[in-house]
Amino acid sequence: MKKLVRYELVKLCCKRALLLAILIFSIVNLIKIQDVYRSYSYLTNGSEEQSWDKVYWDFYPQFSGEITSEKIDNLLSLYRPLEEKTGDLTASTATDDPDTYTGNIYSDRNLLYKYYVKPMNYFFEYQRAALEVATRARENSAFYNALGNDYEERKNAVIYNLFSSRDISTFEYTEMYNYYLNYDFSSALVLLLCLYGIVTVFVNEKETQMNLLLITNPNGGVKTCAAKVIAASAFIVGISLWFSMLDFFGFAAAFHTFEGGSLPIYAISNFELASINVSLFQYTLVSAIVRAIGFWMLGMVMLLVAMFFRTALIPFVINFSVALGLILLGASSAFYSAAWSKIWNPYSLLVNRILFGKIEFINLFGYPILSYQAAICISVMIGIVAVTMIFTTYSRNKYCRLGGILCKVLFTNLKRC
Amino acid sequence: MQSFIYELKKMLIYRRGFLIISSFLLFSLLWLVMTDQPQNREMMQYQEEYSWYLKKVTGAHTQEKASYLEQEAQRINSALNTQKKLLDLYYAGQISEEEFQSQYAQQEEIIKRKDGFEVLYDQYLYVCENKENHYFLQTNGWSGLLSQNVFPFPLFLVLLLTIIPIFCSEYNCQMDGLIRTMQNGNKNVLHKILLALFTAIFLSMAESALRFLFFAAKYGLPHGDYPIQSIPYFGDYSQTLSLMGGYWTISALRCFGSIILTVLILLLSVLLKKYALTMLVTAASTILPYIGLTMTQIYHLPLPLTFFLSTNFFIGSIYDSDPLTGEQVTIFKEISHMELSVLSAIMLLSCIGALMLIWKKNLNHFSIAQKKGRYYRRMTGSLCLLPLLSGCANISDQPNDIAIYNSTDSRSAHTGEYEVVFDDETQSYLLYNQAKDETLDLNRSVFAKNTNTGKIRSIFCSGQYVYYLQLRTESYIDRVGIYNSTAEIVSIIELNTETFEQQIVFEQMATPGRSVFGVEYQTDDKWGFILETTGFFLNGSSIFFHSNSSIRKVDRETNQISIIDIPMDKNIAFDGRNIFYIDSLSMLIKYDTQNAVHTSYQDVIAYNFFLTEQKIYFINRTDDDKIYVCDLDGSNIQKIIDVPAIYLTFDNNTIYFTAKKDGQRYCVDIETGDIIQQ
Repeated sequence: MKKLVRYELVKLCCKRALLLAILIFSIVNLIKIQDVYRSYSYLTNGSEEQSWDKVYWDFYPQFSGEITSEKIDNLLSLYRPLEEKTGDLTASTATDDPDTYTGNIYSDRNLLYKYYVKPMNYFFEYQRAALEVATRARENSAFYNALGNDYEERKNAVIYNLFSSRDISTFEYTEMYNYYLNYDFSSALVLLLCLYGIVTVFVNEKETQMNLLLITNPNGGVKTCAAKVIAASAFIVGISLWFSMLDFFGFAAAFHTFEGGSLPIYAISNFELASINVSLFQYTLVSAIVRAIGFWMLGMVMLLVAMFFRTALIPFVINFSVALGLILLGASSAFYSAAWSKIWNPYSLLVNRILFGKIEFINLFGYPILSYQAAICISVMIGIVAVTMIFTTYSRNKYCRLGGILCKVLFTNLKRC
Repeated sequence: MQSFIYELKKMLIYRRGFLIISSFLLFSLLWLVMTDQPQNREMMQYQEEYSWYLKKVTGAHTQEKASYLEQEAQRINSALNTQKKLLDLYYAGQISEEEFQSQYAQQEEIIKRKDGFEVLYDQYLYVCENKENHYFLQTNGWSGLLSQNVFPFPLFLVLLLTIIPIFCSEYNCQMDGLIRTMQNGNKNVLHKILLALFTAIFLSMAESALRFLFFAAKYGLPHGDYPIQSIPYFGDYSQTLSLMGGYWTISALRCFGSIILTVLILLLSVLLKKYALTMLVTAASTILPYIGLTMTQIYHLPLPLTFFLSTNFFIGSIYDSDPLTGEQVTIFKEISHMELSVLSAIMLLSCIGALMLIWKKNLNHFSIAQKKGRYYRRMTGSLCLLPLLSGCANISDQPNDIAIYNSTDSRSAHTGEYEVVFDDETQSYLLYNQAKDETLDLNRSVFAKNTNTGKIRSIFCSGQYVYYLQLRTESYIDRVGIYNSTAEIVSIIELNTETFEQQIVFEQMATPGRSVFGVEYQTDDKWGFILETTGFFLNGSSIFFHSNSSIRKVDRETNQISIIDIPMDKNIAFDGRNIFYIDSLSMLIKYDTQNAVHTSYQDVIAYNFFLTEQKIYFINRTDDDKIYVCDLDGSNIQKIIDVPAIYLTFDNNTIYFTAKKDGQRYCVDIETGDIIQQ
């Protein structure tokens, strides 16, 4: 069986065209990440003395690390005068002012506000806000308990547990993670590679009519099918994890830093209501695994579709259309609160900030299930159903199953021929 | 020719091309029929009135037209004021009925097309932005036809399905070797290429023609010679182009895009010889630039995609300001004629080169014709150096007991044991239980106070349910360039005041920006009106949103929106089925929302009214604005308070009113009749 899986993996992965596609797509992905950095970060204007990048990182040792009142006072002592001077918009607009950090007083104010004051204020205020949420959740829990509404009581208890111990005690650079967590382009690349890899798994043998021969082989039928499914799964998960890794290191390379990984996920303002309590670095791992599960589920459904066709054309188009439909549906329901519309769609796992960025529950017989938990379970279940259907519909080596007698007869006849 | 017919037969019949193409055209038509919404809903709603005015000003802006519109605006305003005065005089008994009717009818004649005029006046304001090339015309047809700039995925899939097998099917069964050795092998290749090109041209033109016919039939496409800038979507385009010219150019460019994609597919089929690989490379070379490149980049690169999205060649430059630095940022830079010509020339040369390469790859090497091919071969070699083609609501159970809704009292209501009140101090809605003397927040969300989970804008009560309309803003990346970085989401949440369970019964994104895998695009701005909503009410089948200018009915199953033509300058009420309103003559009217029938209450001439479950309280204009009451059918009219008032509400057997004489608020207990100043 191991040999079979290895052969199938080699057949699937060691195609020159596929390896070339992976290489090209990886380069395209890195270029796109660099483009994200150039387009959206303000710290890209060179490394001159008065560039934002240089000034920001010069200040960084002074304010990073544990948030203390001394650091906040120091920051405000820098920022407040700038705010006062620029408040009435009468300050000099010269861009070579030697008394400023970046050459312009407005630019100084913007830099400090965007990269220090605003995030520091958010970090500082977060603990109080989280505590208020936890208090309100506890009150709600007691309120619903009195009403006999078990579901709402449990739901609020979950929220209390999530929020009761939240705080952001250190200040770090978060811009890299902010854009990394909002990056989706590589999912499209993985999807295309999976489409290509998956449709060929069964079709190749049908195109060369090897499928007929396989039925007569003692290792044909279920064993070959199992090897193909395992190889396809490994391929999908491998490709997905490769691109997740590439994204992470690509962003780190583009932004020239790994800073921020130890901060909790809610340090990114889009994740202030995150449904999971992990650090940003841990979240990159969780996100990569969840994305791989989403692709695996989608891949198994694609594999199921592909096995009914003799050429790759129709299954490719069907799978492409289905994936496109799911993506459009998923994207249109991403903003909405109806968690049911998200949990069945693998798009939510591919772009998993939809699930992890907000606290949403599914009512399962009175028990609140967090939407990401439900989505993962449903995806795994759909994947297993697809795999089961692949096994049940795959042609069996009937002759070999009859104690090999008919198989031997068949081989003897073939030899005579 | 016989070979061409064989190829055609193979494609249309054996490979089910006919079925695929006809399904595509049918799907395109059905999609248009099912999803198309007028870009200017008011223009559609008041078509007749709008057209009456439009006839007088159609075409370019002139001083006479501007004067006419300004004068007409003044005339309508003055007629409205005169009507108001006439009503005051008539109900005060200062003019006779005949006098009133004759003068009122004169004014009515002036304002009978007011709604259509308002639509035209909005258009006039747009025309004034650039009098040279903004013309007056019916825009719905042209807007729908031209201002669509989404990648045509169905066409792309049909091209994949029909074009890829042309060569790949031969390679798949190794017929290609045999065909090459045939005497007519070369002709066969030529026929295959021609068939592919004809298919691409046919599909693209058929889709364009289908759209043209649909919009011409649904809205009309008048004045094709007017400038394309007359449509707001193309308002900033700096070159001269007519609407019809725009249609032809966009269609031709899309057709060219189809041809380029077809040549790319053929080339890839010939080079790669495998279905799956051909599809992967085709999809990647088209989809990845769509997702990965910015709008400006796409329109400066020779890609098939560029020509598929040809609408944006004519939209002009788009600028925005950076939210942090305030600097102007170019979102999209207009493409000049020269750039477009260069792009087209590059693509054309690339196509010719690719076709020659295809030809060469399938050449019958044993044919005598090969000798003639030397010249072409050389040319193919040189052309191959050219750039390659690929630039590299849940609906809840219908509440049985619909409560009465009054727009004058939309900030408070009774539901079950609770009273919903608005706290002016905290600017939030509270639930007050008088029996237990306890106050609860209406928004039970634990995040309500701390984060931007939304603000309650208005409420509606029905039985034990409280519905509240909440607006929240969600943001993603805080830098200009991604115009979908913030989204305004409107939800209506149902709260059961017995179990305090909540569920969302309606949710829509009110802003038109959307994003999929980083591709930003705009949808029709059909939900934008909700942001201007001042209140709402609902029943099992529909939700009604009212603003200061109109009421829109939204079907809860299909999300279809329709405008209910009711004047909104006075208050309205709803009893679960009928909307009560005061018409321009101050007469109370009942509008049946199911049958769309208006029924007048001839004897109820009201300045303001309040609907309860049994009675209608109103300020009677025919008796010096004193407070009266009548039954729900308008009978049994009685005076109950002999004090002129300007505003009234009713709660718990108590009438609250604002007196006309001093502007003070009073309350009257219905049973005792005592008037108390508040």
